[in-house]
Amino acid sequence: MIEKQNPITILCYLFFVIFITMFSTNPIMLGISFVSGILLYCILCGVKKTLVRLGYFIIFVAIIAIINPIFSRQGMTQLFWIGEFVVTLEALLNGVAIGVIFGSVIIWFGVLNVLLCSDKIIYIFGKFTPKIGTILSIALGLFPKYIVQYRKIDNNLKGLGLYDGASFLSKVKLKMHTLSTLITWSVEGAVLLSDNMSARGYDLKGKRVYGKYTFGVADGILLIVSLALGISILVFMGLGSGSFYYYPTFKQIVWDSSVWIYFATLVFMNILVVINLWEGAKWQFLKSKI
Amino acid sequence: MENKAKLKNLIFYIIAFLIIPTLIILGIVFLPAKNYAVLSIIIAVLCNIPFLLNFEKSKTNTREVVLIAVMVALTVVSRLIFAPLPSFKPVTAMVIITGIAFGGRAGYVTGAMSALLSDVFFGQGPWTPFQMLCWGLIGFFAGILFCDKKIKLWAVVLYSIFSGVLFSVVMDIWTVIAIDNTFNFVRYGEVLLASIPFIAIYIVSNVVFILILTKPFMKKLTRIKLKFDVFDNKKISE
Repeated sequence: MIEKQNPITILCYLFFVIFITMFSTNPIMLGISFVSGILLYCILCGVKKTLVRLGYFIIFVAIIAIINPIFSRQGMTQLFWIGEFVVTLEALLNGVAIGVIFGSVIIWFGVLNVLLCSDKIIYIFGKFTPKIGTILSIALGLFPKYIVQYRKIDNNLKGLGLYDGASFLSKVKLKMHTLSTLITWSVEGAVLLSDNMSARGYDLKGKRVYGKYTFGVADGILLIVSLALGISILVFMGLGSGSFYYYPTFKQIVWDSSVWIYFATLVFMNILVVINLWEGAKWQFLKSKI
Repeated sequence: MENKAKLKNLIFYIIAFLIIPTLIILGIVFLPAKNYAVLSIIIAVLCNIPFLLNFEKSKTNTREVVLIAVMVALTVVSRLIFAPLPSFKPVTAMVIITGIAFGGRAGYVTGAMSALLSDVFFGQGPWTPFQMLCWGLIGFFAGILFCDKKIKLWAVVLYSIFSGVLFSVVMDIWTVIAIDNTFNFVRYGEVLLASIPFIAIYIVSNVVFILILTKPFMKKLTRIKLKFDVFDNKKISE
């Protein structure tokens, strides 16, 4: 179902998710964002890719956690001294938090990469600027052909023995020569293509970009929910609900009205996970068991 | 008619280069949470919009649209060819040459769309709008500086060195903001120092590719321009 969802809805939803993640400093909010992102990525891409991404994530967090105390010497709880520098617990954990923010954002961008394939990017651009949409779709259609042609030209040069014992610079030169040949081959073809397009009426006014995505009821619901929840969470965060600080020492986390913002975030960030699991369960249930 | 078109273009440039700083100042003054990472991404996205809209409104014919698409595809291919060598990419050179041959507007679109499309393969991220902006502006200014003029190779080489430095410096600003959430000059200096090898690779690759590519590519693209009567900049700007 997510594959059939209107790209603009999905972009709007992910936009809010990424913004909320970037604005939050509270460890609970960050934890929610990180876990939901990983969960969705796992559902979409499988366990193996998720583990690879988690590996990068841990390295990233570790690097920033190590670097941060070097630059910030604030904080009350001293852990140890390295020469002149004091390393504080606050600075260390602040580094971890910054690492988690950007790790989570990159995981959510990974989700975006899966959900918004090139087709949908063309659709989004085509809605607002048809010319750019056309450029994107033509370029995406052409470049696999160019790679094939590039390999052909390159193999010819190899067959001529030009690569044998060539230095690095002359290898680069040969690659550029191949690219230059590719340009000669491609540009005239492009003009033919454009004349074909003109003959089929591309120059006429009122053209639109074709997209197989329609705006259905499900899109409307998801759009309204993500707008309402996303904006209200951002507004409440701006008003100071669920705020958190690291310096001079940690703010105590109290369970007052700010629980609602955690709950809202949890619901908001897991909408796509729930939809996916629900669809999977439905599929299992409806599958013929004969 | 021509004066009117020039005036229109001038107004566009003023808007594009005044709105961006105004937005930055407004964001810094009025945003309650001083979240510079988010702010910088919003600004990068917004900066792209006037250029793309300007292209959309301009009178480009089908041939020009398709030729830009071809240049985008070739740039993406060139980035994929050199994927095994880190940072040693001909993308900047290709964008500069497109800008010189086809004008600033086409240069911007080629740079920005190449960044967007090649990131489909290299991975989208918060850096995509910045790359779009950087490569777009490199193409744009190449067009403004060198298009429809007699090309002096040394000037182009100088410009490519400058744009390699610019690319790295702008991307480092983003790195600093991303790590600290504020702009910190000490950290910026450290990041710049750490990126000196990359800047060196950018500069060397840009110079190498410009020296090898400019002459044959310009010959071919100029021939196409004359033969098919495209990218006549006086006509487009009407």
